[in-house]
Amino acid sequence: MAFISFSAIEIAVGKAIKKLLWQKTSDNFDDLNSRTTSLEAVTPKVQIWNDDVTSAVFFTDGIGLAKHIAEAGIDVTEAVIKIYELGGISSGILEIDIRKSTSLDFTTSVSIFTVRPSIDFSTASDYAVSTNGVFSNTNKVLNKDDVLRLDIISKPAALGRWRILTLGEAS
Amino acid sequence: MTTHSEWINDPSTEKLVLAWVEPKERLILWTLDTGAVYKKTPDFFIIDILENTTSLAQASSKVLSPGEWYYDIKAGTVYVRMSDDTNPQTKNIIGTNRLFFSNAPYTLPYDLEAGEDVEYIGSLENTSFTTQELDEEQIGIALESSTRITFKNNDGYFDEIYDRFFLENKNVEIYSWGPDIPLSEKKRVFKGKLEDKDFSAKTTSFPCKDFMFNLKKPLDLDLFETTDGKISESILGTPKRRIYGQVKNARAVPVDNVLDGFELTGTMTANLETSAIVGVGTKFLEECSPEDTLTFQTAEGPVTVSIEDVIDDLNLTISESLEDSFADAKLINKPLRPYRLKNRNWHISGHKLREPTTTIASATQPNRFTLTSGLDIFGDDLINVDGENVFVKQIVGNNIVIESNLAAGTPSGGETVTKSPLSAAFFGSTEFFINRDWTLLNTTEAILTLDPLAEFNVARSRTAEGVYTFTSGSRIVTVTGTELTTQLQSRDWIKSPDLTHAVFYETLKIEEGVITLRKPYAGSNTSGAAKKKNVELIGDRALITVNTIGMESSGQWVKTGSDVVNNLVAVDGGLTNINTDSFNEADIDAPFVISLIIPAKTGGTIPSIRDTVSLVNESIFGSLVIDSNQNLTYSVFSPDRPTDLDVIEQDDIVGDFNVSSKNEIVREVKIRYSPFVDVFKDEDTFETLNEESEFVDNLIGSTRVLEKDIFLFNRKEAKTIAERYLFFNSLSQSVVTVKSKLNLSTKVLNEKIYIAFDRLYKRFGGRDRLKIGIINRISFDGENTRIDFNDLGNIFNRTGAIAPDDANDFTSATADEKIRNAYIVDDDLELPDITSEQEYGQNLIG
Repeated sequence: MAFISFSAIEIAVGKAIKKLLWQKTSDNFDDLNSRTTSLEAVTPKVQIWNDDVTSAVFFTDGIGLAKHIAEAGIDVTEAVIKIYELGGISSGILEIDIRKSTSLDFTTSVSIFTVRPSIDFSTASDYAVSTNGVFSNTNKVLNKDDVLRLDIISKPAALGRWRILTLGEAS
Repeated sequence: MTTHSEWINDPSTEKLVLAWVEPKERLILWTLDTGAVYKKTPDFFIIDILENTTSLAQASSKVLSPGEWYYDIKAGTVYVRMSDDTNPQTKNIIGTNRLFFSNAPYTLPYDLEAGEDVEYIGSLENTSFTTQELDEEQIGIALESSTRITFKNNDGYFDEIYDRFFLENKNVEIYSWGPDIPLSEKKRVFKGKLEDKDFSAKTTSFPCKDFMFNLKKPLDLDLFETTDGKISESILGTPKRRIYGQVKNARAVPVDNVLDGFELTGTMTANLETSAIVGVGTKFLEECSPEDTLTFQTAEGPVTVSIEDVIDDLNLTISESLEDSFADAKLINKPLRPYRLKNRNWHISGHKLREPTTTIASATQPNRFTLTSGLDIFGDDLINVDGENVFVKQIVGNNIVIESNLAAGTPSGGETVTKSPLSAAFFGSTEFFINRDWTLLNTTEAILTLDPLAEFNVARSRTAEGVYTFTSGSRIVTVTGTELTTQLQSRDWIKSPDLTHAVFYETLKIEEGVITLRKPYAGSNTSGAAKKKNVELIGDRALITVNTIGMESSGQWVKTGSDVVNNLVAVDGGLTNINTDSFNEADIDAPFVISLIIPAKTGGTIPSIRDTVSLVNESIFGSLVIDSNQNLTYSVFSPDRPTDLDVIEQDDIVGDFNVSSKNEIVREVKIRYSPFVDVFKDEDTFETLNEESEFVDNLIGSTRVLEKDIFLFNRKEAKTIAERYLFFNSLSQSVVTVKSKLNLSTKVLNEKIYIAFDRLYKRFGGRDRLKIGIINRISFDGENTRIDFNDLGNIFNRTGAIAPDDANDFTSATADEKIRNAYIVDDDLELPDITSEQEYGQNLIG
């Protein structure tokens, strides 16, 4: 049903508040809602990080491995870590954190997670993907110019390569 | 003439009052008829046969199956066959009779429908006025209506039955009918119980009360028993709580207490004058800590000792030499610090919580899909999609957006989606996480089960002061550079500096410079800054609260006020005469989510059905009354008016009307809503909001403040109710009393009517004497009617109502249209006619 405007006569002073006025209001809201839903469905995702971390054998932890500045309001919808082959590594935990700050000063930053994503190499298989990360629904919402920082909390010493995928959508 | 209302309004027609009285009698002597069927000829008509308090099944002939009965009306003989085919003389068989009366002798069906004819004895002398009114103005519950039914007894009819039959508390029904209309047009004017009885040689009378007295019963809540777990004395025997609607931070009840201690696994032996205890099958490293208290039994009674050290799973030492020995004994441990394998089960409710389940109909993205049904799922809810827990960002109809992409990717369709009734669980102010920290058992009761590592999981990891040296395979950690006993205590956790071995270990003993772990360190030797978790452990007195939705009944969430009241009267009250349509309509009028826990405090007393219904009524302007068919009707007061509003004119009433006004005008309403536990203070409290009336401040000057507790969950909805209380109390209320004959006897409580009396005063916001009001009291004695109706501060005329499409503009509308319809007003003057001030204060939002 298409959107239908009100005429000046319909809502002039002294006019009865008729059912058809309310019906038109209801129909117009339904039309707007339907079109908004369709728009949201085709909104492209924002790719924050979709990269391999290489030469990782040279460090076991790392603060500020990467940074991303939000170009607009973004709601982070996915943040996982992925590994390639185990390569004989059978112990240790690969765990990351993503912290948010309003500037490049991370003194008062907050994590976007309540449970950080991790992969435990004592139980993981080749090409495993983390499934245990839980977002903070408040902190994962970014304003324009907010900065995200990728930290490594722990990793198996021998792990050389793994991948980070972080996506969002306009909020 | 075909209808009751036509008949009632015709003074020339014969008016009959018909009455059924249903006493009980014990049926003792029976004779064998045939097979296992026995018979008896009672003195009066039989409508039911019971064994003790259970009715047998009524058959349609005297050929009976086990557990059936049949009454041959013409022969006056009742036949019965017991379920075990024994002689009914060996059982407690009770018959329910029905006695038929009228104010004139008549032959009519025994059921006043299509049944066989019986004689209605013309000894009904009169019935007094039955009165219906609400216990609170326009909200509340109809007070029990009462009547006195009087019979002539000159012929000694009641001499036989007054004392010999059981009349007290028995059913009585009174009908209004006349031979000028079909029997199908009869109207039941009273249904209730005989309360008492009076006898004389001339008359016998019975004061009666209607079935509303059933609402005085307490709610049917189960009580905590010892079989529910290890429960404190203060909770045993108290009611398990019932939750309606949705609640936040509702206190859970521990059913897995330690109390005076828990029994250790395995058996233990100790010798006299030693301090060593040796176990078989014991788990000392897991279950015990230094300074815990052990109790064992001796011939002289229990002996209590303190643990000095835990060596391993099979050996521990106590702090003194034993004066008694024991062998293969069971010991009780009362831990100094709570033990994380106890206090795991927390009782939430004595019923199943609503757990909506649906499926995915279709999906376009991993965070956007369409459900088969989005009923009872809202934004911020926690749902489980095919085994994965996610939060709902928004839901419109069946279209849902979740906060994060599903790990499994875009669903293909058909996946099960379940909403957990619990959206959060808290230990004090700390939130636990579903599945990792807690699970919910939700069958006939709802019990939260905490994971043994729940407290550890939510504790914050911090860097520990000092230098910690971990040795592979050892339970000993040496520490330098810090006062260790100020940093850690037994059952805290520690992690080595080795980032490749990110495992926390639970501590057993803390001494200066040395930590003893409960398990050997499995990493490589390492030394450096460690991480610690100081864990706050849950004990018997811990505050555990949950955010949850409430009970379901017949697969539906008991969510709104109408749902709650229906559940109370039908399930707890056992009443079946319910006007279901009225409850459905009330649900639409007040779709607000209730927030109610019964009893309000854990360990509290069980309230009555009536008191609980009153809490709901005050929260949504609800009222529970009896309609003209003697069915329970629920309605939510609103200032809208039906399109077929009945008009009462001067000719409809007898004599003059009377008007009285009452001033209960308030300038401010203070509302407490959404009860919850303050997790910082461990106190029961409410959310609050205040609303003030500019209209009252400017024009009335009243300083009165109204305070109300309303049991709604959402602030917006509570604000709507608060604003309504303020609006409804912004002008004085006028009560108009009128008398009439039978023409107004069919009116019911809460019915809206419109009066047009010649000399009524002109109304506020209008130009004429027409007035809409709502009936809040009716009295009827079979011939005369008295009605009170209230204009509630002229609410009906001040609130706008949607007009039909063919309504005239204000300037050409009739007086009748102007009292019914709303009109668009000028932005500044707020008048529909800018040449007149008389419509000031009209067309407001109600």
